[in-house]
Amino acid sequence: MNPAPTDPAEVLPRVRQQLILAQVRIMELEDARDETAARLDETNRLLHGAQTLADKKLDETAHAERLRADSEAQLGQLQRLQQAITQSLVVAQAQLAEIQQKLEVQLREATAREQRLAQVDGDLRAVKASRSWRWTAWLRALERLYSGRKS
Amino acid sequence: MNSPAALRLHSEIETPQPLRASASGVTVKGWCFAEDLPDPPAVRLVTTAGVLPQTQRTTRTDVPQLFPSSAAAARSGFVLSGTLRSGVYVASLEAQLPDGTWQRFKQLSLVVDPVPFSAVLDEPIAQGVLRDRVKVGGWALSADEPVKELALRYGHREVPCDIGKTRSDVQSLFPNVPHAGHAGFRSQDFLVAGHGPVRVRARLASGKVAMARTAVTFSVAADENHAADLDLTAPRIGLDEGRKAPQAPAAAPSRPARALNVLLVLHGSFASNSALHVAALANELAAAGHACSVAVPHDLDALAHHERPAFRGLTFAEAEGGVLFADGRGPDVIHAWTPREHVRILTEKLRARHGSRVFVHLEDNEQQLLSIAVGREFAALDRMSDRELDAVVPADLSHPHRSRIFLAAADGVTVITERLREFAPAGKPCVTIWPAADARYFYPRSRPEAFRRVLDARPRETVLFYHGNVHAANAAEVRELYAAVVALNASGDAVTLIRTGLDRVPLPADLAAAAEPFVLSLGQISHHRHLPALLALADIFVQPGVPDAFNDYRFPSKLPEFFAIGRPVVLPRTNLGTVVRHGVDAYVLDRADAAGIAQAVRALRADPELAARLGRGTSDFAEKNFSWPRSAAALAKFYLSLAPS
Repeated sequence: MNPAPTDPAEVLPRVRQQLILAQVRIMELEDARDETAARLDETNRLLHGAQTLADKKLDETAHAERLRADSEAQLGQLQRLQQAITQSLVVAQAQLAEIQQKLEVQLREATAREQRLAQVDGDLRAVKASRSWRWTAWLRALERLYSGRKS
Repeated sequence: MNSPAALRLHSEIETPQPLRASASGVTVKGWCFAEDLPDPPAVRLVTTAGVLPQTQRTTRTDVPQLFPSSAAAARSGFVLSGTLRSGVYVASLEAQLPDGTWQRFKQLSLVVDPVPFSAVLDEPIAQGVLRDRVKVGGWALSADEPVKELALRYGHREVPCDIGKTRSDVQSLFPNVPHAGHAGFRSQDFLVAGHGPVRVRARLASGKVAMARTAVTFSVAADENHAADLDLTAPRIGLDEGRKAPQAPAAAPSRPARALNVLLVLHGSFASNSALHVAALANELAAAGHACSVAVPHDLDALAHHERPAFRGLTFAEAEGGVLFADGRGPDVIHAWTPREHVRILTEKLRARHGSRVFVHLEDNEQQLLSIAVGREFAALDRMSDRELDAVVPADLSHPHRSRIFLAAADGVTVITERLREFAPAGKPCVTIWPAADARYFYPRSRPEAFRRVLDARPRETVLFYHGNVHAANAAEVRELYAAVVALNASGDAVTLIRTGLDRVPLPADLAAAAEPFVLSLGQISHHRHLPALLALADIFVQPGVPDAFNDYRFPSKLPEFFAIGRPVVLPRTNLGTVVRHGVDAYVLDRADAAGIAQAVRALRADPELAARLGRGTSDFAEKNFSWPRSAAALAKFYLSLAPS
């Protein structure tokens, strides 16, 4: 059921009021549109900036990765070199140990000989200091005389 | 297992970067070849959402010039294309090695925008103007999610539609979208009267609203509710004909000799009239190189109604623990906006903490305000003890004794009218700071004649305009304005009053009923910047009131705005009315009561030449006397003259 028609005289002020309020609404919507457009522009600008920054970081990462790969290759070479040096060192150390062993044997033998020599020398000095050696000195002198030797 | 030897690749991505594409189609172009291979390798783009294959190999004449010794350079161009779902990706561009594995040669960010909501109206026409009252149909598709509701909009109309209709043709257009086969819609009813291009408005499954324009315009002249003589194709008459502000020469940004940290302590929220003054001054001070903060007792959210504030807003509660500025220092200057109790208490706390210079602003007869609020003579209040007064004086009004001590201890006082100097302690440095209107919006505006022709209900209609709330302090004056409007109409003068703002104090019922046919109440206008276009509808502005202990000391905020628009201003011989020249700058009445206002409006209606002259006079006066930059410069000079160097 339709409501009873309203007196146009009563409606008119409301229509005039709503006419102005509609204009206010339009201004608000225009503001919202302008603000939204500005915000969208700003968002796009920020996205562009963020992407540019991300691309720069990706380039830097790629560069760092290349550096890492180069470093790893250099490290491999150095490790191989180190391995070779280590092996040479082991051989040299073995040779050194063998020489040291031989030296030690020779040293022990020399020491033993020195000890024997000292003993013989002591024995000789003991013989020469003995009474029998002294009592038989004249025999050794005759022996030197007749053999043409001098003491 | 040994990895294959890496290729020595040369490449370039030529699609503009950063890469951004639509989900409906991603294309990347460039060139790539390997020094070690006789032919350029296959290339692809890899993301977490999928792989774009090489779709085209192109010959290049420029690349061989850069690499003359590489035979593969001449065929190194490539095009990658395909579809990806919307999102942000790291895209790896890879080249294929002879053993079939892939080697990455570039990484880029890739933004894929969603496929825009698509809608086509194709029944009964797909483009052009439809004038018949028929049912219409078409299809609407959002690739990411199904449509849940749909309506067609045109002119002032919205026509709801049924959705989910089978469309095999749409499915074949979008084979990867599962719901494309049911993208059809059809209007629920025949078209109704309305005129305008058709837009499709859909609510999607997620609740998002999507809009799409179509190539069809509906122009249905009439229906059972619209007679054919109502021309819906008529151009819209706009209210705001001269919205562009006159271009003021842009002031070069300047650094003051000494930049100050200024804290303004406001007595009301950012929605108050005083906030307009404080915000305008703070913005200008900031533009001049000073740092500004504004503390309010409540409703910090109302700062959102101020356009691009150049100052920091904070609540009293936040400020109590101290206020630090961007340079890590506290305020050099605290400007207490009135000596009201809550402002005084916060200011004194902060002065003790920061050792700042304190200035107090006077904008009203505080004694009169207190007297009205508590319903007692001020002399009687002044005789009470501090303890008795503490129980009587509300936090948002001035304590008769404490405010006097506060003013005496201030380094300087600012006043909005000369008469307020009476309340400044003798010998205290004092400066008058007049308010102004925001020049971006308040400037001489022509009357929107076309709109007025629609608006005016009677011949020779005169429109008055009054903006602002009606409260206890001004209710009597506004009643006089309404009474004047009633009297004018009763005597045959067609006068309409446009009002904005809220009526916190109602009019007497008989006056309200008598005035109703002649008053257009628009309620609260959310954004102050929208008021000037409404003010431009007016022929005359009226500031009602009479000289008294309240009006003599105040400066109504409306007045600079009235004067800026360029219409005759009728005002009483009090406050600004004692400064302007009657008949030159404004129409000054000894008493702007109902009789005086009616007499002034009749005089201006009877003498268009006088009205035109006063319209020019008010805008001239505004240009010479009301300027926020000038007021702020005077304020900054005053601060600097008293701030320690």
